Amino acid sequence: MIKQHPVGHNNTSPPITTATSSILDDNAVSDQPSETPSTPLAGVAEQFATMLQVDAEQPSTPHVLTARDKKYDRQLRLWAANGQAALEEAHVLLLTASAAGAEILKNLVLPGTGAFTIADDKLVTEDDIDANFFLNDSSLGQPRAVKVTEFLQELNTDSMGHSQILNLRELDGVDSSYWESFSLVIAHQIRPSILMNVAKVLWDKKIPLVLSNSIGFYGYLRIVIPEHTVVESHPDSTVDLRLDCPWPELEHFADAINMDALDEIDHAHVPYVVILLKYLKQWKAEHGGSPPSIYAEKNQFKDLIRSGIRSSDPENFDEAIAAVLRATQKTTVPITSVLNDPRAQNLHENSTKFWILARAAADFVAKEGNLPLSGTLPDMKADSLRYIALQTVYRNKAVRDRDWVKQRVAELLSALDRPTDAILDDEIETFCKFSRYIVVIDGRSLEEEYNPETAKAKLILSGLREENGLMPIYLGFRAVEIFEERNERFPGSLENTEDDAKNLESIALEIVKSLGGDSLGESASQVLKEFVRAGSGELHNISSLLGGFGAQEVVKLITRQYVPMKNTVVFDGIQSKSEVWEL
Amino acid sequence: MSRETYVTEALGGIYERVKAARVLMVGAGGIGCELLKNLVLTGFGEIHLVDLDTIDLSNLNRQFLFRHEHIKKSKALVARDTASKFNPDVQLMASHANIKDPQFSVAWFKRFDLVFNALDNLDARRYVNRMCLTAEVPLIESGTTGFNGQVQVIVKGKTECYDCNPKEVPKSFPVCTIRTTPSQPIHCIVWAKSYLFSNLFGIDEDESPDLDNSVNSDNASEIENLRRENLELKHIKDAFGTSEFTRLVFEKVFKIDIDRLLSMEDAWKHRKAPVPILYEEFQRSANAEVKKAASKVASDDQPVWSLAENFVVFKDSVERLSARLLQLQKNAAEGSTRPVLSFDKDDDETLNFVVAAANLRSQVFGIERKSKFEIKQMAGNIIPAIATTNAIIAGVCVLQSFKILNNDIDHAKVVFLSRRPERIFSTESLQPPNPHCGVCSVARCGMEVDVSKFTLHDLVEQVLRAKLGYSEEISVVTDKLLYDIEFDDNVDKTFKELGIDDGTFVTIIDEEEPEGSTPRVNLELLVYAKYVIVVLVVVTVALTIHREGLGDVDVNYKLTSIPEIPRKPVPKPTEEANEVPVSNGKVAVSAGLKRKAEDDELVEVNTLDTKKSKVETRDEDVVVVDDDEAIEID
Repeated sequence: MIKQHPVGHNNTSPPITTATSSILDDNAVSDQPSETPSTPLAGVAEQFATMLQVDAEQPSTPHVLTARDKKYDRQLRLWAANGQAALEEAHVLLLTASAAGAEILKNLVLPGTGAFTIADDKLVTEDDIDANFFLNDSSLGQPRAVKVTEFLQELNTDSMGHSQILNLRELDGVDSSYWESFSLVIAHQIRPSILMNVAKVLWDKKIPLVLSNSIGFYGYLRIVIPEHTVVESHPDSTVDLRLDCPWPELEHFADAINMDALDEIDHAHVPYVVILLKYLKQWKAEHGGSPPSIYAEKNQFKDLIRSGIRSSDPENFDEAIAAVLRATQKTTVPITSVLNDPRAQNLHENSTKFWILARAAADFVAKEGNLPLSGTLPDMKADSLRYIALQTVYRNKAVRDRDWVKQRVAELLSALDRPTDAILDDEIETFCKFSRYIVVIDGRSLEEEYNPETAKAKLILSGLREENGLMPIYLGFRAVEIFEERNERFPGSLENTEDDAKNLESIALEIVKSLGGDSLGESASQVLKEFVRAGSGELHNISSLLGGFGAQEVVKLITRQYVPMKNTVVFDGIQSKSEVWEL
Repeated sequence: MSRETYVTEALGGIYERVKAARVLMVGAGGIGCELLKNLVLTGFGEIHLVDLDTIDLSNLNRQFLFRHEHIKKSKALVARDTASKFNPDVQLMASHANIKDPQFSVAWFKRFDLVFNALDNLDARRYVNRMCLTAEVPLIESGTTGFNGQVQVIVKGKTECYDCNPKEVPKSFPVCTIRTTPSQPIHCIVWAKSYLFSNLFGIDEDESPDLDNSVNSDNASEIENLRRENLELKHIKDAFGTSEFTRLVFEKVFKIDIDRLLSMEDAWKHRKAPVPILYEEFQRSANAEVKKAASKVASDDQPVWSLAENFVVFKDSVERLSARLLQLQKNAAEGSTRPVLSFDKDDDETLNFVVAAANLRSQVFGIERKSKFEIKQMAGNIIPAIATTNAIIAGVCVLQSFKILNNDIDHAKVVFLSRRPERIFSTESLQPPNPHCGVCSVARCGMEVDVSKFTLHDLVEQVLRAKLGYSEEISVVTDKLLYDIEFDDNVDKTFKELGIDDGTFVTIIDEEEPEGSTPRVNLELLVYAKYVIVVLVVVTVALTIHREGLGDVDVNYKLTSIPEIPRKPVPKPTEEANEVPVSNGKVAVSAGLKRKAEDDELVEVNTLDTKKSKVETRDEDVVVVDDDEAIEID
């Protein structure tokens, strides 16, 4: 039995392409002229032979394997060279050198983030030493920003550390160019009065802001970013077979195989894609041109395929039957809202590459009715020759689609008076390959979240009533923020905690009322008591968890790979639970 | 000093228990570094650390307790030193050792309140799982791969154990696919690494776990041919170190062996026939085509090398590896075992050899070639690993430990971490033990014997049959099959001779299936070796004399208790009878063989193999994923 793997990626694990490699260039077949050979098998055998020769002259791009590549090997397999390059170009600012902030930075310094700056004006206290692994008794009384930067810098000399002794109140007056040197800002436990202004500036400058907070067993993380676009969302699979709407070459390929004329072994090695195409055609002919749609029809269709089995080991037919549901699904364009978005439709001189590509894809869909083909063919039972021939049919179509998009992108760029190579071929190719899975996140500002007029009142209020839900923890963080600002200390930090508990509860109730609610509910009261009990206590373990979550989201934002969460996560270390909301 | 204020405030009542706790951490890699930091700052009283690994450059992107200057040093010891430097008060003990060493006995495990597994391979995970079940110590099992991770709390008798659910075992390939009919790049890579490399530079046998060498009637003649090829390759090794060596190897594997394959015309009726490649031709053309030095080509891991480039690297790496091996052999002390080289994905010379050899073979079989970067991942079973996932998983481990220390197992959880943006992690309640599990749903008992005297016959007759009432239909297994009704070659050997010593587990599998009932669950005997010391000699002699008079009397062993050995639950109707809860991946193989068992000459193989498959934790069946944090997420 011969099993063929898809070339390039398999469909079960995240792809591990590098910036310069892609399935389309994995071998030279894809660069052959794309006419479909009249007899698929014969033509492909020739191409196959050519492929082996042509490869010898394949130019190699200069890339020298360095110690750095080795050090980062295990992460390059997740976000590849282009993700790493983005990380190495990034400069991250941390406001307040708390333990959680240090943990987030630690997880960014280790993978080689280009530079980081810590802004803080406090001196190291006993409490800092308790919660922060990287501070010890010798740091006591020294500037926190400096000491934490020193220790983090030791973790990785590839990352440039800077510290600024800066009272965060002064941020209000800084020149707006101050912010422009940073690619992303992390702020831990900052008073709303300062925070709102910082958030506003960054929002306007489209610089991502990540907020974190941790008290006792509770943790909080919020991503504030106006627009975030992702091409490499790393879907589980990029397989797109188009069995319901085969293009002429694919149809021709299936037609050219006469199943009845094959001997038993050949018959058992016809790729399931071909089997499905043939039976779908037969079904449509018998059913007035429509494919099997309802459940009963799909079962009948499976029986029809089953009736064609000749071998005692019909693995290819089994694969075909298993794929019936997917094959009878109509190929759709899942991202129409992105394609129709005014940012794609009305390009202007500041349009980002993403929107230009989206526009080209939109035009492609207008012409073809479908997105560019990914060209990925999954693993299936088949003989080598036919598998490769079929793969070539898919790849050739993918190359043709890509070339059309490339052409269109060049036109769009010149219409915008930009050089036609402003978007690289690699970027266009990646976009085409992942076009079904591109993601646009239009975030909500902190202003929108905090202002009762625009707040997600219903979501918050219903969350508060949910049994075992974590919304009370969100409310707790909001209330503690206000408490701290009013009292210049955290609730629970004095001997007598009862007053603090009452006080915190009334602040929480104010928030609930401002959102149109009338009471806190039992579980919110419990949670608020826990906030008071924990005081300002920062558990290292929770900070460390937060450091993991936070840095993970930062990496997604900086590399523009994988889909970041929308937009708030709260976690409860007592129940080991987390909840994500768009607030 | 208010060193404890933060934690006491937040932890409240649990803090006293945390402070008093004595915990064991197995593994000081990605999760281990994070975990150690968290345990230290949470205030755990006493932490023991065991890891046999040394630090590699590729660890530094996440294992933050290590620096460049620590490369090649012990992970356990450096982790201890770095952590103590920051936190001098903590009681930290580290061993640079294999957790399977006899020094880490059941009694030693019993000293801990809690064990954390921060391991990277199935084999060690299973071993610690079993030790914790035996020592009745709660275990927190964890693992990560890329953005995914998992934490599982294991408490004997209350929760599922690590082996209650079958684990996916790294794939092995039928030997004929690798040697005769490769059709995918991975087949050529496995050939280069597990066949060619080991035969040229490693141990002289193809007992690699990547290869499934099982013989059946379909492949018997081909296996015979392959054995002949192995022999021929060995003869070529006589030319080792001469200038001819590379050419001889090349011609053997890319020309002579391929010509032989081509002579089997039937095989190529439905497959593309391989095309041999010629050393002389490459030799002529390579100089013209490849201007760069081999080392220059090899340093470029992203593009797929051209054929000529592969040839140049192949030649260069054979020469380098030969020189290295010769040097090792020269330096080796007289009488010591012959030094060999082993494949290591982070050893560039060995990797270059595998890349070039695999690609040249791909060429022969018309298979797509791969870049060095890709081949490294496939040959080295590389699992992506990042700091963030480890930080989250280690944090969750500590949260779960609070539940255990608080005797609140009911609220402990299995936690899964995935990269889905809708939810950061998801939790599941702990499940009760799987009654079919061959690891935790077993009877246990300790047995004290003098391993230099006690024989397998003594065990079977005195202990199992006379004392515990077993029938004849049993198997006795350690890491290999020692005894069953059709295999009694070992009965006169002593435990010592059979490799059974202090701390060895001996598993008894009941194979008697009475009408309307089921066999007993497996019995695990843990051997405590008792060596007769001088004072006792007299007594022993006396007893022995006494014994001789009375025949077999149970004087030379002592059971710690008389175990109750219940019958297995009736299997669920959906389960195939042959599929005893086995999770070592051998089931499929043995089931397949069973169907072919009519073939007389195969019966013996079949019995042995089927037996083996009924035992759960058997090293030789497991391909160790030799990198950090491999996990199995079902």
